[in-house]
Amino acid sequence: AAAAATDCSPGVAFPTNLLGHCRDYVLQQTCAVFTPGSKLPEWMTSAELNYPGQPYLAKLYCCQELAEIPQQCRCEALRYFMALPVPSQPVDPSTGNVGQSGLMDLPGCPREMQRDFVRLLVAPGQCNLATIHNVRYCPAVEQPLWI
Amino acid sequence: TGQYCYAGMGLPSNPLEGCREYVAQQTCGVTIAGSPVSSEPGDTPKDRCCQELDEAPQHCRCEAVRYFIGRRSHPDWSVLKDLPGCPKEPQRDFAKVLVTPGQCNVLTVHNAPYCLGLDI
Repeated sequence: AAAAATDCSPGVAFPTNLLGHCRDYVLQQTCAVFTPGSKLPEWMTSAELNYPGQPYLAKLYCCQELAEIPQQCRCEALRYFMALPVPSQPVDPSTGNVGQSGLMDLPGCPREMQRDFVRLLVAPGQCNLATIHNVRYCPAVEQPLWI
Repeated sequence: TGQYCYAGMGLPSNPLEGCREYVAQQTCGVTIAGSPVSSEPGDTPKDRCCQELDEAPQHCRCEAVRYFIGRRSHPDWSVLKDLPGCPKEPQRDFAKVLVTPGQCNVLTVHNAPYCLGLDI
C-alpha cells in the first residue's frame, strides 16, 4: 500500500514533463494519429494488425509512466496532464515540438474526447492501477477543476 | 425513419446494446457473459460494436451514445451496468469516445467523428 498523506505536488510526486507516452496512447486511441514530435517511431507504437504478436508499446510505456507515480497521486497527475497548456495551433507534424503541453485539439478530434479517455487510463481494462480512492478510476468529481 | 433519433424510432430499442461487451472489455477488463469473446477478425467485440454504430443513421449516432450511457439526471436509464470493481462512470467515458477515429471512426451529426456535450 502507498504511504499516507503523500504530497502530490507537480514536480514533487511526479515530474512536470510526464506522460508523454500516455499522450501517444491517448491520441492513437481517440484521434488515430501519432503524436507529432513523439520520440518513438510509429511502427513501434502501432496497435495495427500488421504487427501481430508485437507488444503495443505506446500502451505499455503509458502504463509504466502511470505505475511509477504514487498511488495517491495518480489522479492528481492525470488532472495536471489534462490541464496543461495547449500547444499553439496548428501543430506542425514535421517538427511537432509539443514539449510539455498536454492534450491538443486536432482536426476532427477535439480535446473533450481525449479527456474522456485520459480519465480511464487507470481502469482495469487499461493500465489497471489503483488510485487515491482505492478504485481503478479517477472519478468525475474533479471535472470542475479542468474547465 | 426520417429525422427521428429516439429509441425505437430511428434507433433500436436498446441502442448500442452490441457495444456493451467492447466497453466492458476495454474499461473493466472483463467479459460480460463470462465466456471468452471472439478474436476472429470481423467478429471481435470492437467489430460488432462499430458495426452497430455504423448502422445507425449518421445524425443519430451521438443520440445513440447518449441513450447508451444514460443521463446524469437519470443514471438508471442506461444500457450500462455497474460491474464488480468497475462502476458505470469509466464505462461512460469509454463509450463517449466510440465514434472517434481511433475507435469506430464514424461521422456524426457534426459531420465529423466526435460527439459533444454528452455529459448531461
